[in-house]
Amino acid sequence: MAREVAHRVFAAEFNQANLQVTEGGERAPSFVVTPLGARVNRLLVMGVLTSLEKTGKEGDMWKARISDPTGQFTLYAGQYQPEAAKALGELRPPALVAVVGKSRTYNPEPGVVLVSIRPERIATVSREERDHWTVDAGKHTLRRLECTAAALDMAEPTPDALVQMGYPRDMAEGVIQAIQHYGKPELAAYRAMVRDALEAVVTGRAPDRPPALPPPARGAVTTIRAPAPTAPGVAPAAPGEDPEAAEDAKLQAEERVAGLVRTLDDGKGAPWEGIVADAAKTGLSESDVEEAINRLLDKGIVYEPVLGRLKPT
Amino acid sequence: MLQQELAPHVGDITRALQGKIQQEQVEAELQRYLDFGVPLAQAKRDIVRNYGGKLAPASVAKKLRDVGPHDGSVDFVARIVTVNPKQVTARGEQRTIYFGLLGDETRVLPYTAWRDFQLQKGQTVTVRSAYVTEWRGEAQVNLGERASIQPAEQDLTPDALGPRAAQEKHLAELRGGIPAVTVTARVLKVQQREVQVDGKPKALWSGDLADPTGKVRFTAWKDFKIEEDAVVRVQNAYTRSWRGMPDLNLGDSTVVEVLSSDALPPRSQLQVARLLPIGELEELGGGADVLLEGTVLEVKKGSGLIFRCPECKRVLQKSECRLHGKVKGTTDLRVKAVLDDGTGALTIFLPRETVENLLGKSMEQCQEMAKEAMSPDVIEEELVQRLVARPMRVTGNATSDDFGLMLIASRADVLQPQGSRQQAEQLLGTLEVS
Repeated sequence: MAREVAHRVFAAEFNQANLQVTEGGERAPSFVVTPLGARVNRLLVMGVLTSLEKTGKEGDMWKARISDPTGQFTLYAGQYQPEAAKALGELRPPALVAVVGKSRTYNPEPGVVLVSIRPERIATVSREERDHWTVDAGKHTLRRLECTAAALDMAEPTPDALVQMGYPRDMAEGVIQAIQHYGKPELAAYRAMVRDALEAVVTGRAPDRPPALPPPARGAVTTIRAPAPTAPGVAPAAPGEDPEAAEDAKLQAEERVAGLVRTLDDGKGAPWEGIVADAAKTGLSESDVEEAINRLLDKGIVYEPVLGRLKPT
Repeated sequence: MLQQELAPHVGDITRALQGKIQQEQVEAELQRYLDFGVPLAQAKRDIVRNYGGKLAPASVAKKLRDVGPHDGSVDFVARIVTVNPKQVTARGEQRTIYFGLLGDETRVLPYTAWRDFQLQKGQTVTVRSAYVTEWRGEAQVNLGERASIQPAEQDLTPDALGPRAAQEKHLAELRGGIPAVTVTARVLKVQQREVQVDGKPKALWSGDLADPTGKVRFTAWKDFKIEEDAVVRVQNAYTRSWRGMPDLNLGDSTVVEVLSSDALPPRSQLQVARLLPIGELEELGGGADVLLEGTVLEVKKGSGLIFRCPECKRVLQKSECRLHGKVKGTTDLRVKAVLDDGTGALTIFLPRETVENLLGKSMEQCQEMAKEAMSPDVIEEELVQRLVARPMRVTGNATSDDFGLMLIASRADVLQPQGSRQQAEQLLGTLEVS
């Protein structure tokens, strides 16, 4: 099973995204699709760590902002991302960093969509390495721009037609999904964004104005569940096989269950049945909950003071 | 009509009725219709209709030359040229499918059998209710749930088989399982080997071919008098896949023609590996001596100082070998990492010498450091520090298996990115033009 590729996307393009696509079953990988058609499950970004704060109800979550020449990425790292959280704890802004992470979307209130990164690895980098990333992100963005322009030139654009022109399958599918969801993107504005970013590498100074992209799209995250595309002659991949997606789903279940343990704890601990009942409302089965609790117990995030009751540590 | 000839039709009817009536009953009923002089196709349709079922579209007998991707159900007589099992995972279940070539006097085509029909190489069979799809521009026969297969009355000999259209390809485009392909390449290396085939020794020739796009290993099953350094045009060869790496096979129907030596660049230029996007490598499934550039995203557990089983070289877990139990391990130094270039990702393995070069330390020095720190983890930590988020260039053989794509590096260098400014300027130049 192929590992999800880490996309190189500028902050301004990533932050515009409000389309989430899941192809296949419950535990299939999900992607945030950007207006230029990057299907981002994982991404690699490099830039300046500009702010770092503790957040969350318990103050156990790091919130960080990373600036690239076009805008800012938002990162959240908690106890479920121990390596990244540890690395953040040792950093003082400003610092040049590289972040490998997974894309996330949030609906903090109706009508507002925020995309963020859940980091897997964080490392400090040199100015040259950061510049190398910026150029790389520029190249990938230009290629998506080119693919989008090619699609817009077609009377009836399809992924197959773009693949025939030599674009990778994943990019072709993403570009078509993006056009269907966002409509025709402002190609000139995105081209200007890339130009500003590349000029920043040449001059060594950040652009003096933010990219003139249309304001971030408002509205709920649109989630599409589409059947996974299959190639002829190849047995269709069964949904739920992707180990990364399965791990993602497990982490999400853990986060939800840990939250329930905290809210249901009346001092004597949260009752097991109460957790199962409330978790069922969010679509978790009893066995999902059981597995999540076992993993939380293993990680020392919750403990069982008496049989059948759980408390946060 | 003989009972044996009737069997596949009885099967069609029974399947269409999903076991609503017994096979013997169907057989008797069908025989009765035929005795009354009802044409077979009509009899089948009416029996199924009487029991409230629906018969799949009537199969049509064809020659392979005439089948195309639109054929939902075809019958033909063909010789099974090759049979290869393949493990696939479908809906979470491991199962075995079979693929290979089959042919009649008009054409040879690739096929996939989605269940075990006990196909035998060299057997001539009557196939009913196969369907045809298109795969990489070529018709592909599928033997699915509805298909039935019977031994044919008359055998087709290998000589009687029709041609298969060979596609002209560059070496970089090769992947496993191409039934017929023509390439033009320079022979970098050739050597004769002996293998055991059915208990008898058999000579074969193997080596490396190169063209300006890449390299490929080849295996010749007879003496084509291939000489090192010659430029050859290899017509009608086929490829097999060894862990995702293509292997070009020269068999009975292959023709090798020697071209003038200046038809391709000299060996020194062909040996320069071509930089390949990882996404393209993922689609190919592997390749010999490929050059990749990407960013190291992760240094995996099990990197640094490790212990291997002296018997089988497997990496020990808690000084135990998966196969040989508790053993005294031999020390080794390696890196297992993820390399990603934004188009794809793969696992790379760096062997001892490469890691020593990267660290600027010998394995013995690493062992000293580990002893001082009282933990081998210091080396892994140093590798994480040195490699994660760094751009790297690797060369090596890429293969794929159940764990995905991987490459064993013959060379690995951390790149010192200095030309970013020039590259940015160059890109800006192209942006102004467009």
